[in-house]
Amino acid sequence: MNPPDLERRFLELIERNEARIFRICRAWARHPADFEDLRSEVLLQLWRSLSSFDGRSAEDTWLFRVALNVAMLFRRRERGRRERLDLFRRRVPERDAASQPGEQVESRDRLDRLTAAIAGLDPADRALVTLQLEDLSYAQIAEVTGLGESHVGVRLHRIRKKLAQAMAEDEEVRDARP
Amino acid sequence: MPALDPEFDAWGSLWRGQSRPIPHERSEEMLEKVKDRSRRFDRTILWRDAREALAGLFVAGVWAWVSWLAPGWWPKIGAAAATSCVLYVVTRLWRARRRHGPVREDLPLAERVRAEIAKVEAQADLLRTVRSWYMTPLALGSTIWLASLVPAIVPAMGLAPHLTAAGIAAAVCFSGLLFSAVGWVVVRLNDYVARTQLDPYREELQRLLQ
Repeated sequence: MNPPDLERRFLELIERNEARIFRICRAWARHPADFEDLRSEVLLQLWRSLSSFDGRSAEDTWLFRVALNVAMLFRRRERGRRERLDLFRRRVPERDAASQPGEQVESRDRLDRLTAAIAGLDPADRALVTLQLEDLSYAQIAEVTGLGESHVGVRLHRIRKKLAQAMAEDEEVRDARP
Repeated sequence: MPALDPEFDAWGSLWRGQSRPIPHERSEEMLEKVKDRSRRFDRTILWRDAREALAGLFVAGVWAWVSWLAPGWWPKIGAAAATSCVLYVVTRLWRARRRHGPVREDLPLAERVRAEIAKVEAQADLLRTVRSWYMTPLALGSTIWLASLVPAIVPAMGLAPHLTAAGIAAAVCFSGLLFSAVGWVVVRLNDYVARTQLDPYREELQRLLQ
């Protein structure tokens, strides 16, 4: 593939998948600066891997593989560089709650809680649940991760329970606040 | 796929519905940045490999030059042995880098993690065996060269009448101790890096596969 074709293909790929890349980076970055670093790294690796993409797997599968591989190993490389603080809630841009309709505020709040609960999972569990939240089937998740389909199913069942528990506990803490 | 609970379905919709809170950059700008980073990445790798190879070749070249100028056959053989040892070290490093070079990022996650583990284990192994593949060949080459020089240097400098067997033995012991101490520090430092940085990283990667 000649360079202009590759560039065009890359831009189309990013345009189609920008929201996905954003969500993956959001699930894996702990700090606002990490978010941009991680996004740049994902884009870089997508660019570098694109020329060897042979179409043997679906584009979605390929994209999730690259993005999650970068994200999973990125946190390990970056760790220690920054303080280990649970900055997640603080890193979400503060919005003027008063200017937003009640439904939007509530939905934003639920999303923050969900993201915080995902951030509390083990990295491997986080990768699996991120893929399921992206609406991938067990077979597709198995293809991205390299795990068996039945193993994926069993594991996701356990992860969903864990996630529901974390969300419920969070709600209890909020309700208990004066 | 089996039906999920409605709560998880709602989470999925919520998750997929989130939008980017920061402004987009223009596609062309983003592409230029990515291409620029990619070029810098390639340059960094190329420069690192070139620096390593040039340093090795420079040291090997110095030894080869010493071998060429050395008086007599034994010093020539000693310096040639040292040249071979340096080339062996350079080749060993180059082979290790080739075998566990950059891993493809589009592998399935489990395979990618296994590849990373193999790379980390190879790095740790290289650090732990520094005594056998790095220090021993270099020490061997230098020793052969130095030992081969003694018969030529001692008479040439007029030291032969003043040297006693005890003096030679003391000098040999002192040099041996000095080299051993330096070697011990190098071995311990390498072992420390493997133990404190690479082993925990490997364990963490292995946990990802459980």
